[in-house]
Amino acid sequence: MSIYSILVTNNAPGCTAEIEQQLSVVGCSQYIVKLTPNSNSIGPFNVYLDDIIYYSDVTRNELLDGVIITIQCGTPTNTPSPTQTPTNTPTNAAAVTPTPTATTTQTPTNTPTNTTTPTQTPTNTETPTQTPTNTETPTQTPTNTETPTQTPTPTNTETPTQTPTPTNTETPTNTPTNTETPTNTPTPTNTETSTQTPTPTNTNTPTNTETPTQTPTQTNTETPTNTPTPTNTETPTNTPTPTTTETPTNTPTPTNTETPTQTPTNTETPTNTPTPTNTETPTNTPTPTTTETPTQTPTQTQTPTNTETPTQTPTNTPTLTQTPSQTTSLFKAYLFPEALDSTSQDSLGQFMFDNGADWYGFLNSGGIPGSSNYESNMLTYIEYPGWTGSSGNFITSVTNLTGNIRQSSGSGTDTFGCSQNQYTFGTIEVTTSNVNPNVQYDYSIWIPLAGVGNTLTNMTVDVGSSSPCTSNIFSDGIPDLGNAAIDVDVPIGSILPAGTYRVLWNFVVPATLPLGATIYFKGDTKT
Amino acid sequence: MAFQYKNPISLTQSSGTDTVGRTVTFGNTFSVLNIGGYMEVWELNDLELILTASTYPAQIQLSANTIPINFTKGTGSAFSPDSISLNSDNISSGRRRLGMEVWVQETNTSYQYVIPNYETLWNNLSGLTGNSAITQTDYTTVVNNRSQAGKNFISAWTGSTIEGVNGVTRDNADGEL
Repeated sequence: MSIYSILVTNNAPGCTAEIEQQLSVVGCSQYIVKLTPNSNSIGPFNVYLDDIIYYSDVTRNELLDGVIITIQCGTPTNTPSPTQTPTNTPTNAAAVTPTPTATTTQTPTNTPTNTTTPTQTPTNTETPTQTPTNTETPTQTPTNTETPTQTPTPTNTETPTQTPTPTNTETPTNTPTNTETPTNTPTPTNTETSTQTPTPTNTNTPTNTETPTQTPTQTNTETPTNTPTPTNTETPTNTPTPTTTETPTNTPTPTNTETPTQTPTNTETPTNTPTPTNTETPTNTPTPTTTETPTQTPTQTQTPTNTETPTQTPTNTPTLTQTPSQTTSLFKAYLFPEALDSTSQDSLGQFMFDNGADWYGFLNSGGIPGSSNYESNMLTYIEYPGWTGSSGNFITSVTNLTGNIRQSSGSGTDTFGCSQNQYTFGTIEVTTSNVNPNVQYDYSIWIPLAGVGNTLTNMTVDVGSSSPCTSNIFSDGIPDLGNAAIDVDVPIGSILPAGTYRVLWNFVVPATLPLGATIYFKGDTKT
Repeated sequence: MAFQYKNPISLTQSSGTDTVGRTVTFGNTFSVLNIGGYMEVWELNDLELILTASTYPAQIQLSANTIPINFTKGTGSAFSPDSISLNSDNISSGRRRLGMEVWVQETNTSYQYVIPNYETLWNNLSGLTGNSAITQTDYTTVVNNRSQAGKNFISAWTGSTIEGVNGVTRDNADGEL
């Protein structure tokens, strides 16, 4: 049991009245402090428990209703709303229970109040949210840092892209950043960028890449062109070789020393010998060569010269090495204009006949060659000397009537600006000076198989006159399909680079004489 | 060998049918410029074949180049025979096609171009070999006159005899009414 003291003071102005009562309490107890109904005290009042204020500024009406003091019941209850108390009061026992309940209920009521506080916390959270906004700013800064690096490309494009970003209140921040950009070496970098602006130029670089590829190719191409040419040139040198016949005249002359000097001249002869042997080109040429052979025979003293010959033989070997280089570097289609006048046909026909062919030329045989003995006929055909030009109406060397075969995928343009598909040949120009405009020609087109992806069913051809890229003579002309499928293996030493070829036939131009303008051949579509 | 007919093709192939507008007053071509079909000429001479080349080998042309065949007159040398080039249907050459008809103004008569024993003549070419053999490619067949069979075949195309003209009867004419 404990003793408690409840003190009530009247705090009305000028009043010092108070009343105190001691209580003996055993366990949890509640006491109601009330003002008697007949009291005329006005208040306000304070209520103390053991000199500790329990209620303050209690009004007269509140005290008439009574205020509750709870003793030894655990957590106290400042909160107790006196208003509820009276409500519970009528139900005595029950009033006690509900009171704490109400207290409890009020507690959570405070809790939400706390909840409100965290609600404010997120409000603070928003603040940090703004912070990251600042964080973005630096993020852009480095972006600017990268800008110079990107400047090379389309830095300009990106810069404006950033400009809108700064449109966010951060704009000012960006603005200075931009200011820095120009200030930054980037500007000079931009200047250099101009060099990089060429970056697109780099994009063209691949185009350049092709160029070099062509460059060497052409170099090679010229090589072979030269190769056969000198071969031919030497051939006539052989003809004068009979001049060598004078050699014996020198031979008697004790000047043996001179003999060796001539020996090399003879040495070249054998060099030529292999050439025609390979090419047969000059299947005609070899013939006279053979004639010269006996001339050399008597000069057996030159036998040692033969020793040199093998030395030159390897010299030919590198020539062979160049041939494949041509094959791999750049591929060209070759245009063969066969003159159809009677003199030309007589010359060609005789050559073909003499060399064992059974097709003798377009007009002699009434049309293009058939599949029978096709390859051997073609190999004889290209050995005809007229293909080097300057022979009657065989005016231009076929090595000058060529069109590069596009190796790149897709389509592009050839040297005349005409569209060109992959594995087709570019425009081949034939002027009225390249051929006799008063003679009809049958044109065949020789295609290196390796230059068209090693497969060829056929290739349509456009032929036009007056200007490149036209097809007013033949539009998508379809060469003879049967012949286009037959391989022609051209050996080393021919007028064409060695390799496997396919030949496109059936282009007789002009339909009516004379040829009034330059004509243009171009491959259209390879199948 | 039995004759196997096939529609002809050539180097240049159309990607569509040529027409003219409904309201225009011109046509696509003239009938005489077709290969076979029905044509109109003025005189009987327009049905003849006349060699006009000054040197050979050369393709011959009709004097008026009216309805030609594709015939090459060679020099007669070993490598330059006479030859006829057929279109890839093997029943036409130049602008003549077996079965075609031509109306001649001069005689007010229509003539049909026929070679009565054509299949026999063709079959006789089948056994030829070497440089006498026919040469067949996608667009043409060339027959030369190195063999008797070849000569007979070419003569049938170049004979140009007309029934009712110069005592020619139906039996020996290659152009008949």
